[in-house]
Amino acid sequence: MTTKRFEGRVAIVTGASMGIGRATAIQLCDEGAIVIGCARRKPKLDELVDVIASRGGTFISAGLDVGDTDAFAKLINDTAREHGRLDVLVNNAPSVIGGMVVDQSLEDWRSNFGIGVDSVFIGVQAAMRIMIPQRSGSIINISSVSSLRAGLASGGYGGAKAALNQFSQCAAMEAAPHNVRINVVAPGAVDTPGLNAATGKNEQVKKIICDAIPMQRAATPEEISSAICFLASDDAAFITGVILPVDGGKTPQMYVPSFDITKLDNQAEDR
Amino acid sequence: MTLLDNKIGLVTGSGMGIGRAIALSYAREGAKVAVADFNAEAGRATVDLIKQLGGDAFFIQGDVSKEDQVKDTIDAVIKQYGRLDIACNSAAVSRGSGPIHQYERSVFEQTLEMCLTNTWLCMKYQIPAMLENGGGAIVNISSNASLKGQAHNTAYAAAKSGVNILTKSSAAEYGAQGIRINAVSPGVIRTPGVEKYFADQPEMAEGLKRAAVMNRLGEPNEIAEAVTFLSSNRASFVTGQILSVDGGGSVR
Repeated sequence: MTTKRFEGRVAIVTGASMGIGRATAIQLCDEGAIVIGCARRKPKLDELVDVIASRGGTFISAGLDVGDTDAFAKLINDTAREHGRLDVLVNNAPSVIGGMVVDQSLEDWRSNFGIGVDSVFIGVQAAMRIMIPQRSGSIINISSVSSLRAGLASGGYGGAKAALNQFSQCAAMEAAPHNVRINVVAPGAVDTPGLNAATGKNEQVKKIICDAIPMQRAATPEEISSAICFLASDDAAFITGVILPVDGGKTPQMYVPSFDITKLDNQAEDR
Repeated sequence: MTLLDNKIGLVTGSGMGIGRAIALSYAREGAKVAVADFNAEAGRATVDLIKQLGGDAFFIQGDVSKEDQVKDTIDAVIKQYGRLDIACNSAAVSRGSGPIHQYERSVFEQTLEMCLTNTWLCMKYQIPAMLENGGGAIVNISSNASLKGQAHNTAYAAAKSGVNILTKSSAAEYGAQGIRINAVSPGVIRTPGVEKYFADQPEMAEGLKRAAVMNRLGEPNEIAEAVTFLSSNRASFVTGQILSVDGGGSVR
């Protein structure tokens, strides 16, 4: 695609070192944005600087754990000061700690909420403080279909993502009169390192997951980032407060009992 | 290269308002567009606008609540362009309603015919055409009236809720065969109908703007951008969704 919807725009993407965040950073840069990407793994991000430079884009690497909320807020403020504006924030940094309710520790429960909700709250707050006086901006929070449908071992993760959805819609209401939009993308199964980790690289498990999706496959990271970039762009100028699942038709479909995931060896533990 | 290069598109109800904006957006993104409407003058005007942009379009007159006319419409697209890749079903007419005990069954039935049955009929003939060439994308125009209860609008709301579940169910049916089916749910949009309403009752305008938390009306082109996204490969993993384009109108 040769469109340049983000020419002259400044964007921050969290969790940019791999998967959905990496694809989003690349697409935003391809379409003209200057992207500041953060992640814990600085070397991975530094590689991305070169990848994007070779495509003619500008990507700035920031080694940062968004769980350090002071550092995260500072990155947002520094970015706006240095570049004179902030147009897009993509809160993508994931924390997925699965666990059956009877087994999950309070620490693991809180970890889902710490990255999935607390850090996003700080990010949205800092960005709104810049975007509201600027009278423009678009924030995209990455949720999950686990926020919309119950699943085994996803009480903590799904609960945190459901909180994120509701927070996003409330924040969207407050931001809307100032022409600042806040939306949510809720990915389903995506072919990322995260999915490989969740399935233990077990192809049988992957097949079961994909068979339950109307489109019969997982998404590529680029299929998620193209939805993120649509919502980030002026193409979506009248869209705010939506939760957009990008899931191959999984959540709109009634549950079809085709298998019992608990009968698979090691499933409960791995998820 | 544009988003819908080499695609063949059909937009029903594209003689004016939102439908016209969608037909123009399809054309701007490189699609050849079949403009369908029951109003020949309006439909031909949309075709002229597309041709002025340097696009390729032709007009099909018909009432898509009538099965034979839907069949003729799809046949005309295939005859003209050889296939069908993307379709937007935006044709809808509300006969109004009012309190349930004060309006006639005929009003309810006509509204269902012209908002819901017509959408089902269009999909019934669009889908086999798309299966012929390995897939496609359909976008149905719903309404925020479908999402929450609203007094005195029961017929239209029921019809548009029907459009939503048609969308979700058909997405489940055809996902594996390469057809994506989504809906766009507009909030209050500056259509000729709304403009006329404003002219007649200017004091209503401010209230309608506040339906959106963005405190403004949406523009037809803003609906068209969402439809174009859902019709394009940028939405290649999005199906069965009801996407509100409403300036935040449905969050509260």
